[in-house]
Amino acid sequence: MSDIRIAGDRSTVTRRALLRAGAAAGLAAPAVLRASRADAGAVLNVTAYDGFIPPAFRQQFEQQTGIEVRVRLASSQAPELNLLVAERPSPLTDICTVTGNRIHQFFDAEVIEPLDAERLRNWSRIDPLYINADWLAVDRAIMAVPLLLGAEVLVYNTQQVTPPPDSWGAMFNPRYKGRTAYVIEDFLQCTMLYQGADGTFAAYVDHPAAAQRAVNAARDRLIREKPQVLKFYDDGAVLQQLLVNDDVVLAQTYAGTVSRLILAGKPIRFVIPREGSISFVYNFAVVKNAPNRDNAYRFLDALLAYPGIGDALTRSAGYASTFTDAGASLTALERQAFLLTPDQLKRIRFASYRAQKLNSSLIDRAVEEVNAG
Amino acid sequence: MRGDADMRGRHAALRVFYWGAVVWLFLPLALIAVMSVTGSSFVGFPIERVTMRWYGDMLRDAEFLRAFLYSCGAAAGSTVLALAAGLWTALAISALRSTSLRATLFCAACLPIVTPGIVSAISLRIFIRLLGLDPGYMAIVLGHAIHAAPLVVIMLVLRLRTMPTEQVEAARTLGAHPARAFLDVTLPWLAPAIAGAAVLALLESFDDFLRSFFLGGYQPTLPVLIYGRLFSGLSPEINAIATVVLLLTISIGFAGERLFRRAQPA
Amino acid sequence: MAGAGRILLLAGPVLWVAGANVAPLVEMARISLLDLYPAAPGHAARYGLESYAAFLDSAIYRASFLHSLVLSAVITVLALLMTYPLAYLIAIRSPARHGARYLLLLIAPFWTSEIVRAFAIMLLLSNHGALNGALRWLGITEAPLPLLYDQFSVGFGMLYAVLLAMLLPLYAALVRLPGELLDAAANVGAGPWSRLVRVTLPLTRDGIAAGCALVFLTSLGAFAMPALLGGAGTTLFSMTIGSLFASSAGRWPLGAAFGLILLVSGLAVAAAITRLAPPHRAMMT
Repeated sequence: MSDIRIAGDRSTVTRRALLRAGAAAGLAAPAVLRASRADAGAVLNVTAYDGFIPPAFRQQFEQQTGIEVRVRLASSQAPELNLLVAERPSPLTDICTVTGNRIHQFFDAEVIEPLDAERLRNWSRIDPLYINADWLAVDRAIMAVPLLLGAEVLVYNTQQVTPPPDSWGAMFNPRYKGRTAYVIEDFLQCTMLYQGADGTFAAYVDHPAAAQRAVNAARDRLIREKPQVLKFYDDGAVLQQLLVNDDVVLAQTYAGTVSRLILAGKPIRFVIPREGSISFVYNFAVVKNAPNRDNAYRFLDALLAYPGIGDALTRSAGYASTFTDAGASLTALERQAFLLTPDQLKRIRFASYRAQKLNSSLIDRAVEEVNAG
Repeated sequence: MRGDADMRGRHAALRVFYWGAVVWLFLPLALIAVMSVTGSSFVGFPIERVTMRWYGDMLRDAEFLRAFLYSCGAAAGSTVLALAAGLWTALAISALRSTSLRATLFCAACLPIVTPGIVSAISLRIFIRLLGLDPGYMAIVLGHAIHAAPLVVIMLVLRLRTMPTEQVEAARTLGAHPARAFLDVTLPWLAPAIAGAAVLALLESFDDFLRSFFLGGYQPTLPVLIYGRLFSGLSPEINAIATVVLLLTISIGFAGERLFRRAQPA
Repeated sequence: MAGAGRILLLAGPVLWVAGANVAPLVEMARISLLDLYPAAPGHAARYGLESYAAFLDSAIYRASFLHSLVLSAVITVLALLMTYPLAYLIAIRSPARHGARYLLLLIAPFWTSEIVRAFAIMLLLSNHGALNGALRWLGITEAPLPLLYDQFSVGFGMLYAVLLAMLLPLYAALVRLPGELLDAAANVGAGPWSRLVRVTLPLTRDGIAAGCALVFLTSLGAFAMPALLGGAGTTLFSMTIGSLFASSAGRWPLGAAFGLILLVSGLAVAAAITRLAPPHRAMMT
């Protein structure tokens, strides 16, 4: 790979210099901290988001198999992908978290490999809606195990936004001027839906000019309506604070982001507007050249077989699960905080796999323009 | 001769300004501490109940304790390395006679602070692979040291420039070995700048997320752990952690200062 | 100095700087010339200057670049004005035994993670925040004052973040200032301002230059504070660069090129600032 070779000629020189310097640092390092790698018996390295591995399941798996599950927490896709790309071609990681709309990108970057679906039983526990989705497979090979649904929603403060909104257009209502927030990249697609365009981009696969027009129309609307928005945010934690601190009363987000606030009794609810929304799914995928591939499959197999896994995932991660028995063991409040009604589920759509490349280049540019405009 | 009444008046104004700055700096920290005892599961006003639950959670949180110690170790190791590399570089820059060479080396030495974090993190990840170094403690120490060395260089180079060179020359003329002259004259002159640079280097390492994320293995540093947990929101436990770290560092700092003062002859 | 000693003195730093600082940037420069990165392993690399041209062509990028330069300069000046009196008090006008304690008190806040501090500033300035709560309780305001997510909160957060990088060099310069010199100046009748302007400031130029260079460079690269505390109209160049590396369309070359542009301009300013501190001899004449 070319990026390894670039400084290769220098490596022998600098290595000597650094060994000397490294010795000094080594003296300062308490021996306990020296990480021992791969000598600790059976291990499995998972890069996941907070709560994506229910603690009870992890404990049971470790006890039954003797495999130590080591988790590295990531909190968004971009740094995770950059890290995995940097680890190629001899990764430390066995299982990574990938969102449905990024699967093509992870695959193209040779970071993940198709699943050996035969090695996993219990596929039937996952809702066919996800198993059959076009974004999950590359050339008919399933790429990942769908776990949690990141449903794109309109979230509002029930005391300050009345009547409850049912359209993305509420974000442009002058009553809420300076009291809204969104993730530009996502809300751009919501605005496309609001304007009657195809936010999934499926219709534009062979019509890039039409796609460009639709994106531009949404972009111009957002630039024109900039006084409406208080903050463009990226992290769910920021949106939680915006809502709790009463800086924002209406926002675009993913359902799981606000579930903690709903559970805590805050006057916060979410809807999927009538125009629908472009959502995504969090999945576990096996990393290409995973050092502990067998352990990875044992882990995923055990995960799919674990009783009540869907609700366990929902409780620890905050998002609705993809399992068919989702919600069976949840309380009424938990259902309200975590789950979508069948009606709402019907309005959810996913970005088309074939259109993902087209839309990411168009959207990236529009995001910059909205940011600066 | 520093004590006439007029001066005292101005010092009073300075003192008021100083304590104003302290209040300004500590106000957000006080809020962190207040929020660490909130009874609700998120951070925000109003506080309806007061609980010590988050401190209990934190103490039972082995992952946090490990990450905290690991961060301390990485900060110590990288500071030592950054000071050594930075001091050496600063001395070399000052010894150069050609202005253009001096400027070149100085700019090259400063590169890491102006490199965007993500770029430096990723290129360091590629760099350690070239060195045959596994991700983990040594890689983090090296990465943090590379990032902190310019802070040391900038402070020391400027300090060296204003050093009264007569003293070194006098020592030399009197037949002192260069090393002797360095230890007796140069080092004491540099001492406050070295101490300041060490503090900056320690803090840079202790608070670094990106480099630690890319260079670390499966043992997270404290910021890496905190960032990961922020995915589900700012929990009061994170505030409890921050409060404890703050109190610990203040007490260690003041205890160290006391010990140091006692060891000094009056 | 002896030749061998000189070579030894230079060898370490040159190796360190070449290996640790320059090599990664060579890689970054290479990426900045590519057409696509990260690319699929099969993609044939094509080199060109498009990314640099994109900077010159786009008013959006130039605007956020200028915004960053101006903001960093303002932050640097504010930090200097605010910090110099603090450093002066600690280093000179407090009994030697207490100076360290005064200093420690200002350093302590920086052990708290920057991101946690940013969230705390939100808690301070938000509509339901501590400040607005206090103002309402005192009856000064009825509706909450909007203090967050604009230039004010960005400045507030960044000034907080860079304070230490200014304080420590200033302190290091001031603490070695010979007290007798100030006393002597006072004895010959120099007033406080004239002492400050003609003695203290010139003698601490090294610290002022180091502090300004450090603060300018740190503000230019600052990312977390402006991203968390900024609003919809406060995009900085560092944030633009960050988003290019987070993009899903292989836009690293643009990010790398912009990173280099930021780096070169930052270094130029820093080098200019450090020239403000002339060597010892020149200053005494």
